[in-house]
Amino acid sequence: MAELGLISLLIALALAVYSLLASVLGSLRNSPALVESGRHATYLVTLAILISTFSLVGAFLSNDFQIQYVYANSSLAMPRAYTWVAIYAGNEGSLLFIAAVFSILASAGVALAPARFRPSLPYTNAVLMLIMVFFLAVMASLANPFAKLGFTPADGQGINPLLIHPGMFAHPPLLMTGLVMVSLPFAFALGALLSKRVADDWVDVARIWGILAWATLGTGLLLGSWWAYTILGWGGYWAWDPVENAGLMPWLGLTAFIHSIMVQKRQGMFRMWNLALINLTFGLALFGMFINRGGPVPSVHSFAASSLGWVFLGFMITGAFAPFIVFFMRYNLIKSARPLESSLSREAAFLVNNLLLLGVAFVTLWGVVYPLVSELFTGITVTVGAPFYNQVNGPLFLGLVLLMGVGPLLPWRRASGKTVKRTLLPPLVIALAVTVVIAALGVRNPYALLSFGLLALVAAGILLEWGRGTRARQRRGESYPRAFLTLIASNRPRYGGYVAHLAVVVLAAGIVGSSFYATQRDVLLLPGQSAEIQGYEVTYLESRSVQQSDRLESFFTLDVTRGGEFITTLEAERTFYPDFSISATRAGIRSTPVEDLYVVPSETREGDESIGFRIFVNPMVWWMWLAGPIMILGTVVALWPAGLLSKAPAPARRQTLPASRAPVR
Amino acid sequence: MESPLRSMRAMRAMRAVNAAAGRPIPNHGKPWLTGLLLLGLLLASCGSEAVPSLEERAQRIDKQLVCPFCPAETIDQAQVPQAREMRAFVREKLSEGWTEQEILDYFSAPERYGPRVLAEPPKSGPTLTIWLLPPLGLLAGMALIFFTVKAMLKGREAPDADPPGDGPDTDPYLAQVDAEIQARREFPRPKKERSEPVNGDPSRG
Repeated sequence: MAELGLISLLIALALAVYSLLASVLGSLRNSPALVESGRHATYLVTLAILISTFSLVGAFLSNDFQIQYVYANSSLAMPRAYTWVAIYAGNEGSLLFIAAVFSILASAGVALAPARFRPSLPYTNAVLMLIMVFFLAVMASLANPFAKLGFTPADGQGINPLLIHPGMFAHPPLLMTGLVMVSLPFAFALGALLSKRVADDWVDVARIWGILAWATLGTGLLLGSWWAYTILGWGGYWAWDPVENAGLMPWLGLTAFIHSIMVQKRQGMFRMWNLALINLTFGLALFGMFINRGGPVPSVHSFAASSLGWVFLGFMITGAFAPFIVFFMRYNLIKSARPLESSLSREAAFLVNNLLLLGVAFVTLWGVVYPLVSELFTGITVTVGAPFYNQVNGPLFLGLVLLMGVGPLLPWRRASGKTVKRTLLPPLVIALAVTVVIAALGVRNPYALLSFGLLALVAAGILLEWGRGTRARQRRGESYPRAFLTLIASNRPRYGGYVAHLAVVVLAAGIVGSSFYATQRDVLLLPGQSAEIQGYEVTYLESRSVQQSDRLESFFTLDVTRGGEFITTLEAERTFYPDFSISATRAGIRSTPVEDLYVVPSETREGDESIGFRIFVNPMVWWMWLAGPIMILGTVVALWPAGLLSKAPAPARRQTLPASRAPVR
Repeated sequence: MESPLRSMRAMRAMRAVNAAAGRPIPNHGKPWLTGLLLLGLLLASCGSEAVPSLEERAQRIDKQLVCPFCPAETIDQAQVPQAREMRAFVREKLSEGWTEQEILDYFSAPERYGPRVLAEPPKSGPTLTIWLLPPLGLLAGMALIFFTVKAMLKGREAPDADPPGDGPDTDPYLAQVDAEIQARREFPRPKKERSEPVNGDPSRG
């Protein structure tokens, strides 16, 4: 198995190099046959890497502990289903997983590109294969997943217990897929630049892959939060630690990108900026891959810890900066089709949106690298924790929410004061009304009030527009549901975006509610004793323990009543892994749209029956998880293929009119 | 319950003033101002939260101290015994009358764990840089946008020359083009709600 895996890995490397060279040479020498053969080589790379990946799966399933990676990440006692998790649990395996996903995406990207991309596609392919060669070369030299031990151990060390959670089946793969998918819009952008086809064509494909990557990464991040919430046992879901930040930064870059390319698509503007933006995002995604590979334990210090860190750092710097050289070589080709007309327009709002999104991304990056900077220049070791990010990013996020409310209501090109007033006033009034109502309900924190008010502004703007459009259609004789659906179908990219905005509103409402109004209690309870929190009465009933071959599982049952009325029975779990000397907890959670009751057994005492429980009441967390499905729905609406096809005649229409009078589609 | 009432009273008072001045209330000329004033009043009236209990203060401190034995976790999050001891220490000292800052200073003293134990880098001394860069960067970004927009608006002068400007509100040619494109689309749209045929329709962004 190990031999097959390694050999196909090396074959993939050779094929990727060939594909890279054939694409470039074929394009330069004008040889379609060579270009074609390069493209086919890309497909073969995928095949070879898949064979290699399946060899690793086979090695896990047959408990081939002679392979170092299998030995380090699995054991006889590990549940078989977790083989899937074990594949990407460590450094080498996660690289192989990233390479496999990337090869599939690269093949799909190349195969699905429309025919009009023929001149730039070889360059796109070459860029993709260059990235591929990097991953494969790293595995072939520094991080071989098939490296063998000199002996065959009887049992493996086992998978990190914190990874034994259903969220782990989807969270890391989605995160890695999202990160690596950023390469596609990047490769199409760079391909367009290299082939001097810098018109707006690349934007169409980049938009699709960009939105897909955005949704994948977003879902991955949300699942990660859910995992942290249920298993880490501190009642929170986001700690701003480097691993999370590394996924968040490219997501923010993508968010900026999928907004700002709309301006290029519609108005032929921001061409330079969009190229720079996807390039930056790619750099952030590489940084994310570097931090994320190898499970939940890395830190910034892994830079210095291994030579692999330096290799990654080098590639990251090259990947982030080399494209700018191409960019400046083609500088005079990239011009906006049209100048900005007014600072009060949607284009201008998008500029500010981009500034704030990148602002958050760079504040986050700054926080992640600051400990290194500080140690390097002042010799002082510092920690940058959640308070920094909350204080600095908080206001930026509020600004973004404000823009999310105002921006979509501004027309393209220019707005008159009258229009703005008319479209903005109703949502503003509603937002104020909502603020007053929740203040009357007892919300006192000024930040929370401001946040909820702004969120109401966004939601009101969207719902009012939907209401208006639906009513207009309904008056022509369509039933309400049908009128609403035809309204959505009339402009999927826009209304898909609105659905995504609603997802953000729901997510943000959950975050604001739970971060300002969480209550926490630590209590020590004997069986039969109870504790009171926010009107809930939590009674610890009993515990039972199950000894497994590699771990001791303890289950704690608690009854919850409120005002004397029985509500539910919660079961919380605490599992001790002697091999790792780690205790993994799983909280007992009763989740409702109003609030979560969250109980976690945080402390057990030797020779003492009493158990330390940490109990939280976290308002509105439920809404955060709801945001995931809504976000996916928005993505599906925005990307539904029919919308894509109807875009095709656009350039022709643009050309038939004098440039200064090009209509807005 | 005092403050919302107060602000509602303020709203009513404002309405009364407006009504007395003979101004129509819903479409008042400066609703923004009214809104801002209201918001200001609201925010001003809501600073008065209940005095936090000792446990609440302790929990706030827990979230500001990084567990020295388990990187990237605060003592609030960490489940190792040392973190538990530190939490107990925080509560003990609070009940002895120490202030929040004294406790943080105690742990971050150079002879103990040093500044790395603070989740929030101090806003003084060398770590001031981490706090200064983001606002400076934001200012630079805003300046960049300002000058870009200014430069881009300059490029507009040529098309703007033809009177009376090709603003969407006024250009009959554009309106006609748009109307024709519109007619070829799947659904003829109602004209009623669109006083700005080119750009005013928000459903076509």
